[in-house]
Amino acid sequence: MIALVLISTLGILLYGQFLLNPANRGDLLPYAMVITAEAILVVQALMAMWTILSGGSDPRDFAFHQAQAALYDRGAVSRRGLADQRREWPIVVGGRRRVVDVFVTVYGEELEKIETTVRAAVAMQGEHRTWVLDDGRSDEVRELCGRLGARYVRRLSGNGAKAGNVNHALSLTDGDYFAIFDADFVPDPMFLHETVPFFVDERVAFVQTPQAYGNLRSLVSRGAGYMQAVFYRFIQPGRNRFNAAFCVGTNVIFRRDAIDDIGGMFTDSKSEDVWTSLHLHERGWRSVYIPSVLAIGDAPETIEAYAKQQLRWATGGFEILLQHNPFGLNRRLTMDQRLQYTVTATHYLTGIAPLLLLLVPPLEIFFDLRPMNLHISVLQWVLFYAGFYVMQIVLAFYTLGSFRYEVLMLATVSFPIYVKALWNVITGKDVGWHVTGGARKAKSPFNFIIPQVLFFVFLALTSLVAVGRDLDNRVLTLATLWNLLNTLILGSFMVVAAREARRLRIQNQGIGERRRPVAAPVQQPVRQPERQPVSVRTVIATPYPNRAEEAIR
Amino acid sequence: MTWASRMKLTVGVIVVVALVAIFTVVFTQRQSEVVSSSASIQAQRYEVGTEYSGDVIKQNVRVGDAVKAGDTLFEVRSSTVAEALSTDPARFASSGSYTVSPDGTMSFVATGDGTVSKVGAQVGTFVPNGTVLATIDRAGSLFVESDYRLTPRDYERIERGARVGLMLPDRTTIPGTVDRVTVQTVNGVARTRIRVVSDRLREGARGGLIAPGTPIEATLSLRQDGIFAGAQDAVLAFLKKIGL
Repeated sequence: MIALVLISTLGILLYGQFLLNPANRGDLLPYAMVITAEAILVVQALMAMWTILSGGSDPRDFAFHQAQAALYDRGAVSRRGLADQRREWPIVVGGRRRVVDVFVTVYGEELEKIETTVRAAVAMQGEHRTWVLDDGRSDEVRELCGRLGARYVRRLSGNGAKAGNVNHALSLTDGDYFAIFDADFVPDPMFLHETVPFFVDERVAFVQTPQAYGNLRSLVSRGAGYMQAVFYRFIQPGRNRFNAAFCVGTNVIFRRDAIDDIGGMFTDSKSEDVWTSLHLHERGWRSVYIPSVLAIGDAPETIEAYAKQQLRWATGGFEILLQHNPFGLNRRLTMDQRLQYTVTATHYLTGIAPLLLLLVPPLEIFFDLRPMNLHISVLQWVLFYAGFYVMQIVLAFYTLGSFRYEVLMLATVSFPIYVKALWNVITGKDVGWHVTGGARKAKSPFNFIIPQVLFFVFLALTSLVAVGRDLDNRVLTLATLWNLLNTLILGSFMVVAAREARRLRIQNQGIGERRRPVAAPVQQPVRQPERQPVSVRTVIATPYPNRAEEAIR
Repeated sequence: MTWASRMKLTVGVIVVVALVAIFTVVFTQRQSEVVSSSASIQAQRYEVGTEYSGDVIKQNVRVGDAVKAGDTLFEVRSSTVAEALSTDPARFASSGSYTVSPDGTMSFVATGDGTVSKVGAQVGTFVPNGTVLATIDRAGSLFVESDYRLTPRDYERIERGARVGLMLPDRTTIPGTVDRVTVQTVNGVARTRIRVVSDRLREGARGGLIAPGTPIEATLSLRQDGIFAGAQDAVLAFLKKIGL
């Protein structure tokens, strides 16, 4: 792994040297575009590698294991005869009984989904109170809670969205710790067992666990899921080392005192999770991230859901960048934390970089403006690209077990979302709140990807012109190839969208409710370790992609 | 899709198609034109010189003077001529560029209209035989000589009589046509030299900018045979018709 990262770094450096060599410079406009885009990508890639390399340590120290061993009040368990009822076992941290609240935030999700989550939340090991915070104001959910033994809270206003909902619940409860689950994240029974012992350290404000997805059926959810697998499997553990892991809004447990210390969950942003973490870190609190999967939920399945989720996250990132610069003088953060938060805040700029790169071939085709000097041969270009992109793909292959086309596709076509997010932050425009996977009548995905459609039309027409030119000149140019590739990637996204539109239409008409999604054949990995031939020699195998990989299946 | 989205999409597609059309026109235009690496206005010139040595006794013109055919330019008195006259008076009768008086003075005259561009002698000096006394740019003979670096394919697309836009230093453009094409190799690079003629190249016009030696930019139109040529011509003709 480390060797691979080092080789990747070398590739990046060579590529950077090639781009910045003044002898290779071409026309100013496309050159500036390429340099800007690549600079963003390269800096982010280097920072990501730094973070990944830092992520080797286990946050579970001796104090944690000691606290975990003594987590339950065994005396009370035997006195009250609770040996079989694990969800009633009283929790003890630092020699004192602690009250744990579990919040399930609900906002119009499907009833079935809510039921599964609430049932699992109630059944977690260790004594806790489960609260369903319903912003969807559904009587069915209230009845459901009555049946499952959860408390039901409905507030009168909808202020502050999810953060406001949690703050409202905090005013009703008095637990020492509170866990938050989105309605579509089903917690593991051992969630509290694995997270609560960290609070033996009085400075720990929250313990975050990964978001893992159980619904990787459609191309979009697979792409979105895998994109995040890198984040949860490698980036967050690395950030943990610098005490800069941030909360992602669900599958997390907070210390109430810490949230009281910063005046409640941050409500002025749609990305309340990152903001709350940032405020906690500024107040000197510790955060813990453990890479164990303790809850499984839904990745955005439709393009609409994906677009809205990305818009919300990107908006949060740009808000921090523009309104709360981590390098500001009055921030009380360590240098590592500042760097890490800057990486987070600028991360979504990498989503805008493809826009610049998509425009470079048309510039060359129509206006003969080239980013690089003419004397660079096609082969040289390809070689240098190999240095950068092939290594990225190899790295992805190694970290995720395979390179996913879905990720590449989504990364290429998502730029309008991020541009919109940046624009919204700059102009201060507010965007509506949205649940991942809400249960209303689905709208056609084409409503949300008009810029992508237009870009596809533009690139397709440009490709026609380019092919015509090349036929005419009897020379195949790199710009044509590049543009054709971009057109194909965008085109494949159009196909995905068209299939999704057809599926949604069928769904909306109520026909074929039991049908599998058209675009999404479920691929079950075939793993049959017992059929391996018996070997007389020692077999050294690379570790099979383990927990995080399993979780996202 | 909602109707609002449909509207947005339709308008967007129209805009994109229009943009691509405009870009394609620009692109085809660029494909069919090539700009000179260097070009300047030149003129045909003739020289007036003396066959016999002698003293310059009169100079009637200076550099820049306009002359007409028959105007006297210089007078040179030569003892050689005087001596030859005394032995064979008929000897100098047929020369067109000078007349001889009995005392051996040669009067050099302009053989065509034009402008004096160079003077080779002054009054009171001795000139040996073979001296060029004056160089005269012939009136109405201006042309442009322009150099291009062309690919073989572009070279093949040059046509005799093709349009050339001649941009003067004041950024006005006058039309010209290809007259003659030659290729010469300089420092291992093949340069195409094109001679361009134009009836708008009148000496002294445009505040004196049109004169031999003025550097200009000559944009050569190549024959269009790409697949976009037809569409391109149609669009341009349309734009011209509606007055753009």
